[in-house]
Amino acid sequence: MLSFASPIAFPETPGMKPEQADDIHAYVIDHAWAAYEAQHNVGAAR
Amino acid sequence: MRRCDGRRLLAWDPATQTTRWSVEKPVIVNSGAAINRPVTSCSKARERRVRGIRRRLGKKALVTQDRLCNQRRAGDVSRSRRAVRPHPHRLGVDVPAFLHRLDVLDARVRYGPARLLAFKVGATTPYPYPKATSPEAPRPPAQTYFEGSSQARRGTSRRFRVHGLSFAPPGGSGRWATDGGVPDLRYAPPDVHRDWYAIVLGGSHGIKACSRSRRRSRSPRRRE
Repeated sequence: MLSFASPIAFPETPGMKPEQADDIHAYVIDHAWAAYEAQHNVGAAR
Repeated sequence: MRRCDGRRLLAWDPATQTTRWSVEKPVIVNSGAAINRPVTSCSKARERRVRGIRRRLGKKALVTQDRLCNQRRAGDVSRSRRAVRPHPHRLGVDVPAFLHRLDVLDARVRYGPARLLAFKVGATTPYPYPKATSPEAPRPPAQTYFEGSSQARRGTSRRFRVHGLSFAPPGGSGRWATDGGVPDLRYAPPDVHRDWYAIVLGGSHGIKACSRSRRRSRSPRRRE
């Protein structure tokens, strides 16, 4: 995977800043917790 | 035909510019690169190597570029983590197309292990629809970053097209894969979270020091 820190010419995308990487990581973690909890709740219901 | 969100395998006839055949394919395959294609014509040296391989594996073994390059291949199960476009291969008068699926050979992948599929013109056997089973989600790390709303985070991930890679299909791509395929980041193992900066900012082979220095400055813990 290429580095997101460098800008990409096409499609035009600016370089990613560490704060933005944090933002995305937080977003991923939120979704990961949602998936984890949903899976475990389903398991408990069964 | 079941509805799907646009993922189909097409047999495109360039002469008439029409679709000759099409099948719904729920697995995301990036069919751009021609790797591992079955060997159809060989130099004499390659022909000798193909004969040697067939002698070892049996006369009907499908010998591919992969094996010619001394990489692993076992029967019809590919161990490669790369995708290949469907490639025509002549067997007698029939022309089947081979499709190398993108999934890694890992039982934790939602669509099962990678397979090499053969499609034959005029065949009536239905497409072997993969049975999707969700792998068990690993316990994610604690949330440590609280700045910005959920909407803003979503906006950032869309801006860098991370959203599309990970969560776009309903239920995500379902891959507990760390390389080779399109990963579902919800199933990311702990080391991906640990090396987040190195992977995202430095590239997958990037600067590990970056992640370590940044991690020290992060503050703790919403959940255990």
